[in-house]
Amino acid sequence: MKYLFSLFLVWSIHLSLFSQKILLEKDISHAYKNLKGPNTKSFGQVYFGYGLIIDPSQGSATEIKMPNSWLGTIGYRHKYKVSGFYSFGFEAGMRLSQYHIKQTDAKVFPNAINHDKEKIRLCSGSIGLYNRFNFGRRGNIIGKFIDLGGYAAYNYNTVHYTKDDISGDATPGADVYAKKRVTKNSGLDYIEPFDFGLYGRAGINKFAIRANFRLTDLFKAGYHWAELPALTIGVELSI
Amino acid sequence: MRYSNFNLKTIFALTVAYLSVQGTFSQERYWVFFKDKKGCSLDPYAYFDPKAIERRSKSGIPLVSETDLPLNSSYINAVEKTCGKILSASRWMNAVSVNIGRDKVSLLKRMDFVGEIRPVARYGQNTLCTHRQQELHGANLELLQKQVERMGASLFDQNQTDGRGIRIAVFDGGFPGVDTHPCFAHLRTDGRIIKTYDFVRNKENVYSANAHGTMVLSCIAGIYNNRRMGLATGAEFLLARTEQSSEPFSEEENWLAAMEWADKNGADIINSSLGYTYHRYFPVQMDGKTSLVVKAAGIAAKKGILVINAMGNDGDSKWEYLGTPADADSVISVGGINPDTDYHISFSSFGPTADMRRKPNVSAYGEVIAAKKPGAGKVQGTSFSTPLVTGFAACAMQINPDLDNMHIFRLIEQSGHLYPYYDYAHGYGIPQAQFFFKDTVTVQENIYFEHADSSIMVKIPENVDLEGDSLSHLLFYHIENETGALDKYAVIQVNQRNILDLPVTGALRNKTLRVHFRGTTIEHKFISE
Repeated sequence: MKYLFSLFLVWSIHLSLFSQKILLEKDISHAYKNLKGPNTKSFGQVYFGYGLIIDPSQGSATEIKMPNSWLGTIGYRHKYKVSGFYSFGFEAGMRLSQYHIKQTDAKVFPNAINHDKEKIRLCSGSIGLYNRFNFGRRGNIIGKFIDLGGYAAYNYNTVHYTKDDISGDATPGADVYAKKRVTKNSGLDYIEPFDFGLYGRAGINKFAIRANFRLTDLFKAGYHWAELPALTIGVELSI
Repeated sequence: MRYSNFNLKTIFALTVAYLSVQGTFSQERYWVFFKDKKGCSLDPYAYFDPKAIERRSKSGIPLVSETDLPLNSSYINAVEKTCGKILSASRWMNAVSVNIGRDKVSLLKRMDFVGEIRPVARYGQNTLCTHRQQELHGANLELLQKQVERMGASLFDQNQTDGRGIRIAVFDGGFPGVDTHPCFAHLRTDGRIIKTYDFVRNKENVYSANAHGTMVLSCIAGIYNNRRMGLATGAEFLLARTEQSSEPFSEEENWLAAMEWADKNGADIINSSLGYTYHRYFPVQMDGKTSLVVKAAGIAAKKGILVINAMGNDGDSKWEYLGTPADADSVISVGGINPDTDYHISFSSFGPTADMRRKPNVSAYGEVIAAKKPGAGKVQGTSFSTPLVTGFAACAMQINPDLDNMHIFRLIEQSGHLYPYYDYAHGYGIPQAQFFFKDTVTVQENIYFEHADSSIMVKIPENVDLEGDSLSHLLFYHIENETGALDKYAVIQVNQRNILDLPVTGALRNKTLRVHFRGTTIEHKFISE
């Protein structure tokens, strides 16, 4: 009721100014009452991430080109504060992964043919749940934190690209009107629609370093290629 | 779905190990407060500067109080034995600061002479907004004159008032050029920079690092080509470097140590631009009770020192409100005025405090001319409104040598150009010298209320001129509730004689409408409507 009165008061005064120029006007009936911000009970933010797909084993997985292979993310994250030290939250977003396949004589995935360029692109929707551990006393800021969580992703668009320079190609039947040949095969049968993994993030305020580790294979059972690398390390910016 | 050959136990173990290491061994700076000062004593005549003794006598304050006594050395030794090096010690707070991990915190808590333990606040904001290098000509020279004339510089000049005999401590990020810049030649020639101390590096030399302090000092006492930049050109100074870099970063322990140093060395006024906001606190903690610096400011006031602090530059940011210690009752908190429009400058932080006390107390120009390296130029920030008021306060003290700090505080509020009107953007307005010389001009009643059946109108009489300078057409009004706090306030540029027509409803019951126009403040209380 008091709130309605205040609203009416502001509205009535507003109407009553006869074409005067209002230079500054402040209604402070709600001052200090609506507390929002990064260190409150509930806080949401949009994030952008860019990470490099890393193959630390160099050989045990299908070989990819580094640092050309990457993972880009954009999404929304929401956090629920339990105590100054512990929070939990969820995030939902879109991911774009590009695996640039190394062209070697030993290459078998997805076939043995070598190209000038070859990559697998996965577009996914993902959701994640995480635990957040904060360190140090802080005001209404995110502060220093470590997140540990898990994610599930649905690969809704899978594409295999190849690109070759055919400008000097003398093979009978070659396309003499083009210099480059690009192929694009989508809806790849051999890619699993879902994958799951763990992630960790260490950050200060808007910036974080993030590592993802995929726990499941990307290739369906029955395809015996060495897996694509599971580890991604990169940075995230939240706004 | 197949799972990769990955050892989950390894991830878990590494995570737990990392968190344990982080929790146990990460070191943070803490204040360790002692419960008492048993067995400690002090000879005030040996410890204090004669000016400090004089100030205590004038204010009727005992020469030695509990807060002046040194810390109990056996307590310090015990803490040092447990935690290693003592980083700083505060007599006022009866505390020492140490760099320790959480394991040491629990050890300290078990000591029977230890009271509270709390982290040292970092990341205070220096209330500088922006600055542009400019040489002085035309408009800038005009601004230089206006920034002091708006407060009545000529009247102070006519009465030979320049803060002479008043000792001002300035806390800032550094004072490079104060030892060479021509704007401060008069201070150097007269030996009026009494003492300096760099609390960041524990050295006497403060003439390096961030030039913010140089600019601030010039707005108190600088003279640029025979034109005064601030009002207290005759005062003497204690210069303390308390902030660590040009980044908005500082530490409260330096501020606290500088406070005690300023008290010991006889400061009458402390000028500070420090403001802690969201990095360390929540808006609701701007209540004048929570932060350590607000408590220190309260102790300084009890020792007779007038503390003057900037409101902050968050008026146009999400934080919006003042930063601590501007929330302290005993601190004159200074907001910024736009010299071009003569009302609130957009970045100046707003009041009230979280517990709805009136802040700011007064305002001054938030865009000024200050000393630069070399020359002078235009700068913005409530950091620069504050020294203008500090200069004014020094003059007020010189005129009223027998009044204590809190009397001067109230007089400065009453000298505001809007007084008795106030709001949370301007406080009581810009302090005016004429108040102290009883040179008050009788102001003709230039607004009045007209009552109708169900409304109240504010009008300007026909004989009041509405032509001319638009700066004089500003009308301020607020609605004050029964607790004394404001529900609403506004500034209007008046274009016609009928200004307000306010429907009288139940929402206004027990509230007060107060209106200010060209020196006249009128009010109407809605008692029975």
